[in-house]
Amino acid sequence: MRILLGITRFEIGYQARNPVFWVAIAVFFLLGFGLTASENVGIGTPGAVRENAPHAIMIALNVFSLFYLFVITAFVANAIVRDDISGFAPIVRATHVTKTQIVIGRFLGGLAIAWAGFAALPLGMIVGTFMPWVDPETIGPNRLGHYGWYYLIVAMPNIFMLAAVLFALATILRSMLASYIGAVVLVMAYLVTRGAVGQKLEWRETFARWEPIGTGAFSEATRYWTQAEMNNRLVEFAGVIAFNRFVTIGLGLLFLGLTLWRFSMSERAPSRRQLRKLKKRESREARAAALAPVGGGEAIIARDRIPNRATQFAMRLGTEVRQVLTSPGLIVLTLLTVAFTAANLWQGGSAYGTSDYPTVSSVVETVRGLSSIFLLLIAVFYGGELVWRERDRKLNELIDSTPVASWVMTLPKILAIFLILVLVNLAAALTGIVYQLSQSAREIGLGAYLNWFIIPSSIDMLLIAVLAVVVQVLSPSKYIGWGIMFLWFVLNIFLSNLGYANPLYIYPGAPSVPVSDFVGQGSFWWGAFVLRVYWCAFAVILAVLAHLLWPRGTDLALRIRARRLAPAGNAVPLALVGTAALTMAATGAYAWHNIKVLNRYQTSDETEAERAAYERKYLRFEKLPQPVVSKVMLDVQLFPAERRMETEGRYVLTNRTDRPIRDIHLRQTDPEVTFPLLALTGASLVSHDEKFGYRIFRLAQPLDPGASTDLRFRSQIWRRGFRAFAPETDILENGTFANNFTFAPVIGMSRNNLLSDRTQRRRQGLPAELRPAKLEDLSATSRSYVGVDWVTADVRLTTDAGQIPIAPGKKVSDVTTGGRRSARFVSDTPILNFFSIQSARYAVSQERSGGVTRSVFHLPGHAFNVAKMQAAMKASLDYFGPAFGPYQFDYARIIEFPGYASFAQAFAGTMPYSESAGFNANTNDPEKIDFTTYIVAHEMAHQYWAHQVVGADMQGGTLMSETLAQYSALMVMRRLYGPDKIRRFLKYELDSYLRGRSAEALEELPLNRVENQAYIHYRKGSVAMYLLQERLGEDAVNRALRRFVQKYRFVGPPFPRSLDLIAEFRREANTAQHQQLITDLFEKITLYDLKVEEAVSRKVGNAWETRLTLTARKYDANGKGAEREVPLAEPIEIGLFAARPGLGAFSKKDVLLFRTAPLRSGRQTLVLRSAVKPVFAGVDPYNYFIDRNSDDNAKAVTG
Amino acid sequence: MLEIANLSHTYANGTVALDDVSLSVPRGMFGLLGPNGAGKSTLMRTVATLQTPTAGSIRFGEIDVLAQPDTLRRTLGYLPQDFGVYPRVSAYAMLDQMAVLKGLSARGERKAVVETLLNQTNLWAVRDKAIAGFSGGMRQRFGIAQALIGAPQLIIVDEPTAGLDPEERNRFLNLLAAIGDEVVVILSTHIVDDVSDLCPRMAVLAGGKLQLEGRPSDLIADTRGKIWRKAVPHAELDAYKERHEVISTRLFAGETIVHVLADHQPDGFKPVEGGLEDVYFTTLSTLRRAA
Repeated sequence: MRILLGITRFEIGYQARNPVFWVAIAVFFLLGFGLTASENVGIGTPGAVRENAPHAIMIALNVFSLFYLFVITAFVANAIVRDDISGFAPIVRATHVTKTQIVIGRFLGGLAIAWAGFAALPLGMIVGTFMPWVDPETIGPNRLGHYGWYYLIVAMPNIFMLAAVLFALATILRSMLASYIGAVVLVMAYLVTRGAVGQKLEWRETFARWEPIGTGAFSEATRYWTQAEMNNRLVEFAGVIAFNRFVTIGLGLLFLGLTLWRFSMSERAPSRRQLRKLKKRESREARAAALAPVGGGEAIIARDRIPNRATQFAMRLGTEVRQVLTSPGLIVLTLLTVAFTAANLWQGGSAYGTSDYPTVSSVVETVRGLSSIFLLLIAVFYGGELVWRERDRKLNELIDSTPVASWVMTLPKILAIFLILVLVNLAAALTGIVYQLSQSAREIGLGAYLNWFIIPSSIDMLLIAVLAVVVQVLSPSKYIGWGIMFLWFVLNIFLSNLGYANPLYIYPGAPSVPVSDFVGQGSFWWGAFVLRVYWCAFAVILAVLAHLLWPRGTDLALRIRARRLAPAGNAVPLALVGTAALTMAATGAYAWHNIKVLNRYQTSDETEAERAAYERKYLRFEKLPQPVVSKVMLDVQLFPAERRMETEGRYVLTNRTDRPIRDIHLRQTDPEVTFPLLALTGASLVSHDEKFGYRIFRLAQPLDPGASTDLRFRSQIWRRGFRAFAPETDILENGTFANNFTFAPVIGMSRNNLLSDRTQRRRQGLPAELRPAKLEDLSATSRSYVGVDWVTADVRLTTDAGQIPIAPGKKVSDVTTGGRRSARFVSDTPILNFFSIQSARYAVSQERSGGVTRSVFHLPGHAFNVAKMQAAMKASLDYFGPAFGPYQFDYARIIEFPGYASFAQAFAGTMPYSESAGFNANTNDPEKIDFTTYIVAHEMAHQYWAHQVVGADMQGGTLMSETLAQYSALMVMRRLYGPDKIRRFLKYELDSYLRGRSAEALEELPLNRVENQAYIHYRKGSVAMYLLQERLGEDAVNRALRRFVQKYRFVGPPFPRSLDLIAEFRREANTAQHQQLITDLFEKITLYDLKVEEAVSRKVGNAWETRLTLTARKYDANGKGAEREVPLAEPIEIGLFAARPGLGAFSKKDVLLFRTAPLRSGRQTLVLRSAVKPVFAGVDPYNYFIDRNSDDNAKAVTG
Repeated sequence: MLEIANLSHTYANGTVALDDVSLSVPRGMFGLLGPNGAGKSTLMRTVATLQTPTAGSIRFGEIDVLAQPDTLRRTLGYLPQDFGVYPRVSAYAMLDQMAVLKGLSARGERKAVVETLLNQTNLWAVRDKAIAGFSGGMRQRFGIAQALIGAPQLIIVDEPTAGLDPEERNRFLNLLAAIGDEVVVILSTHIVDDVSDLCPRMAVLAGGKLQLEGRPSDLIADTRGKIWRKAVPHAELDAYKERHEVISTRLFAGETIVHVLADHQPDGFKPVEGGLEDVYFTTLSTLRRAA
């Protein structure tokens, strides 16, 4: 035992000196730190869960323990193979230490150090929470118990198991490299298996029990936890968790046993040939050593005595590169980069769990986003290693006494770091390419990798490498140097979080360069390029400094080295510094002109304060009676190449109130748009607040009710030069997407563009929430929740000849003259005065049926889903017309736009759909939801629900648009996929609703009072509407909707309230039960708990009789989630099936029995008969009801 | 040839490493003897352009070493007291690299130089082995090989024999002896035999000051008739130390032999034909007494 402990102790000490250990600590500390300190780093905890909530800790420890595998490899594989590598093995084996002692002792040592190193992650999280910029509302109290508990039950077993597996791997493979490769294969295999198995419902429980990392188990145990639970509750060590953890530990023990069995203490006997060779070599060496030296210095004459810098430089560079490439840390960092990148590529996906087709921009964006933290660490780590290498290896005196210039030492070090950074970049790029190939991408886009990622990223990293080298040159110790770099890193985060992120003073800063397949980098790269030149010039100055202050010799006090800065004898360095300074001045001035003069620059603090001031000054006009726009006439000239757009417009303003209006308030929402003309007939400008773009006109003669006046305007948007941060992306060389809130004035004050973040609002002394008007406040019905009114429109859009102009309305002309293409769109049907214009080099798919022309405008390479979208539009129109009433246009257009933003939106007859919002998602997997069709059907439905009927700006307003659109889409899906497949949609919506509830920060409201809460109006709305149509009948619901449309089509103000819709439903509810159902669904928060306890089947005669034991309960919840049980007495579906309902393959033929049965609260037993032996039995098997645990609704039949 | 004048050096922490050292070193082997911490390495490093003294001057022939360090480096061979190497780099590659750094760029010439040196230092057979795995003697031979690159006029060898076994040391001294008389070779050491075996001239440095300088034979002659020896029981050593000026003690066949310094023969002591060791220890002992 003493021997064993001795070995363990030695192992710990040995590994603690291993630089990999310290690099790992730094990496995982930063990861943890980023999780809590930065909003940009996250791993998928719901919104209102605090950054350091026990739930967040659990997920972090779980996810990162898998990636920790690569670090563990360094410890445990090294413990096994190093004796053989170092030639120390015979000595160890000659002692009386037993095999068990060696294996166990070293394993424990490696394990202890691995455990210790992983503690850096929670430590980083704790430290991150104390950063001053972190919003205190997102941070809870730091309880060591929370970290400790999950460290104990998540991290320690996982690391134990991973260490044991690697131990076995290293024992069998006997090589570090092979172990690393083995580790990669393991992770890949794990991720693939998890991807294939973990998502499937029928495997979920099995997966949760047996999956050794415990991801499944922990997500199973915390499914549907509320926000409060996630913030405060710890997972108990019981049930599936306990089982899973024992599986993990058992697996570890198994592999440890395997290692003990396979580990061999005896040498592998060398072959006779090897022995002969060995003997020969030994005797040769012995002869060489025994000879007395001969000769003297005089024979050595070097004629070339002029130091040749080029040769020296090449030699140094070769040495540095070789040293770096053969260093063990590189492989760890490269593997981590590749693994993280691969995990994100393969695991990442769009909203509904499906993955995108690998378009060039989406893949490159993912790849470049992930590798940066690793590149940074590499630069910092190797900066220290390389600058200190000669001194660490005691080579400095040899080299420093040779006639070699300092830059011959410094420059190769910088370049060697640069080379590894490029290599890691390439590894990440290669991962992306392998991903594209594996997904059979049509286009790889090597040029895009090079231009969007490798070149800019390499330059940034070169800049960091220079900084790392300079810092180390000046630093009195390697560790202090690393510390300084860490401080620099934190300071950058600190400054950018405080909003001080002007790239002119953040080294190495550059404006972000978003990419899209429309324009690639567009013209955005230019600003980044200029800033990179600027900082490269600065780096030259730094590099000269490194050259002059290079730690040469043995007396390195900075005071002494500073003497070398004297100008005498430093002509070349001075010239370099001078040139660099001039370059900096020139590019800096140019950048300043672009950032501050051509564009508007604000720190985030300034923006926040300005928006708060705007609210304080003008929100009081929100309810001021204003005329509405009734007619829109626009002539838009777009110059894509110049990124300029000029609009000439006329709005007819009509007073639809019952009182005369004297003052008219006009706002511009983008301060950089100029309005050379803004004139209101019969009115004069009485106040113009240029800071906020707020103008007040006063009519000489007040506008009487029903009377109209004209607003004429000219506007110009010109996106010139570059900005400090992200560029404006509305007017583009290709793919312009602008809406009239930007290029036209907005009438009256609204809540758009106000601060919405609770923390920011509180910080600015504003109320934390701006809640909408109460349902009972009838004055609010004068405004629609979109904030605009019904207009007719006449829009001419002129663009370059190569592009297709698109605006809402029927296209009445389209002519190309003189290199310009001009199209006129007229809409006599009322549309909402919030619309977009688009222009790009599109390919068009056009079909016509039922008097409607359906078009999909898309990038030529993005045709993946076009046929599907056409079919979805057709199916939608086919359903909606008979069900809800006539479609108001003779066209329907889906238009792809660049993926800088990710959404699809319904404007009148036109549906812009982002390149990155699933336009290119692969939705053909029958196992997954076809959300291409789902979204198209939803947006099509908005042509009724928002574009024919729009709700008032108050509680429940979105019930009449989003909820009804969800219902309509669900009906289309049901028609396409059959009612038996609908469970998957409902299940998805139900899960989203329950998760959304968990994240509610304020108050959950019933549907009739929904305050624009997505999880309610979309998610709960779908489930509620579906149950409503199941109970009342699809026809009855559609009848109610048809009446509702007829009554409120293009009506308003006043706009309808949610009560008006519910009243129509109530007219179709003929029984007290149905009336109660409407109350439960729309006016309350009702939850059910339905569960199959047991289902036993036996054969009776020719049929099968199944005894189904189930429990049923019903609860009312309040806005804070407190539940109260209420009696349940209503018919609920029960069924017998040949397969588990809800699976991808489940269909009508698997349904043996499906009917409703009257259920009551509590446990009850039903006897069901079927002709065939059932495999599954269920209560509410298709998830019509809102059930906190919907997975226990079906159960396998026994007996 | 090498003229050191009034050289002083005080480190940032106040340690006085060199105190007004003036020394003239002619061509040939010059021994610099001194105990650990005497300032030898500071002196060697200062001459080797690795650090700048607080005061004083160094000239090597026409070269003002402090003003033109790079000129001296071109004709300097330096073997530091303790040096390491890059991991995973062979003797050949490392020597080749040092040759480049010393300014031998032409590939053919460099090859000739490197191979000649490897042969001369008997490292040819192990030229492809990583130096990290060399024995102490082999490593020092590599050290001298790199110091000899480019036929330097000034060779500085700092404590080269420390840690070598007798045979290795012997071979290494043979190598040094073969360098020849045409260049300045400074051998800094704390081992008296190194100096007596090799050096026609020598100096003793202790406490940062030059204590003694001259030919070993002259210095030995000065001690004639002043050194006496006696075998004493170990237990009485302290008593002898109180009564006599003991300059050295060593064990021989289980007895302690003491050497004392005295103008007249003390009781029971026998005269000794003084060696360089006695000169050295006498110097140190005088210094200790003065302190």
